[in-house]
Amino acid sequence: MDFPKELKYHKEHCWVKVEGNRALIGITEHAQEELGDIVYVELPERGGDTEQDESFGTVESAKAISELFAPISGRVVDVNDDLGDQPELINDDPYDSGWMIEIEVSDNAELENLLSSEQYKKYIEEEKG
Amino acid sequence: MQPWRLINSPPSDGFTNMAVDEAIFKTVSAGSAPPTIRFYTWAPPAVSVGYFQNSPGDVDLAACREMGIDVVRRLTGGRAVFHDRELTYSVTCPDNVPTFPDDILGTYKIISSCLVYGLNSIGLNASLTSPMKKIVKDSPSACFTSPSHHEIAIDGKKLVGSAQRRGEGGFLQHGSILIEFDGERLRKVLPGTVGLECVTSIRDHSNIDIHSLVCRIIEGFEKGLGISFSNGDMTDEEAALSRRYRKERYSRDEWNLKRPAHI
Repeated sequence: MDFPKELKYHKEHCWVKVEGNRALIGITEHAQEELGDIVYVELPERGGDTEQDESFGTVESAKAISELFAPISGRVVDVNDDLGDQPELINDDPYDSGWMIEIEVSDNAELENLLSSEQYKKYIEEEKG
Repeated sequence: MQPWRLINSPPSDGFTNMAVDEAIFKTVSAGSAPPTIRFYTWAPPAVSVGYFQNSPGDVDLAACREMGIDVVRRLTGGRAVFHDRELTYSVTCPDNVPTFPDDILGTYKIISSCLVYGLNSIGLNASLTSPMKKIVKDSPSACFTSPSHHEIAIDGKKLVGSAQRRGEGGFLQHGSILIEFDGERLRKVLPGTVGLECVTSIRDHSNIDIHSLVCRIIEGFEKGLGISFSNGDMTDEEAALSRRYRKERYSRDEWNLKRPAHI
């Protein structure tokens, strides 16, 4: 399973890719595998806010609705509209074309609460028992 | 081990039923109420649609009005269910209870196994369906005739349909156990429904009354989960929350008829 080293990870299975004061957010390969085929995605609108550890959207898969929890706080500047017609991008390519939102980071210090690739890998291994 | 709470609710309309499930989901996930199993029925009957489902597109709203059937949007996923003569269960549990795994299908499997224990104990040949094909977006609109995972069938015909929501520190799974099934009535409110021959009901196999059925299913959960129940009711907080959710969400057309703004 792939956990790119340049990303930071949240324990609720989202990744963050920070570039300057912007950050892309999506769900991890582990998360998409656990969820199964994703059929709908609900994401915040541009201009909305995310708050670290709080819900920022939902996905429907395998007959469950699962909430998405924001890895960091910020203002939503872009949303991946392609997921409306092609939610399967999240399953097929979770770290690239399956990205979900882009935010303007409001507090860089929050990144310290996130996990590195190695730490996240260890975390899900422990979670699986 | 923490005792579970058992709530037997009086028959209620769909707006109340969904508001109560959400209120209990909220408090149980937050740890202010114990893990809970609830049983309820629907009066008047109602169609519930999945969280992301396009209700005006899939439900004959005029027929529902004429037949006195409410339409309500669920918090959970999946497709439309006609709640007519059925017993509904709901299970709410926080994430930190080791009884259930973190994943959706693992949770389905455990809950379905408990239901199967109960159904087998009244002599029904109920069993879990195998995990099936991929879910196809915009496939048939009625839940009972769509592919599913770890659901419950008798001789290959579906008896129980369930749906789940995860988040905020816990999960809610609720599902319909068909007591009697009238395909013609179903087709009036959900006209696109196909595969009715693949549905069965308790009445096709047993004359058990609902109270006795609930008792057997409770025993199934006690055996399957290794837990004990204490009879309970909603807390004041849950009662207040459910009134609020009913008023602000589930009794409103904006919620029930308008699909969430998925992208």
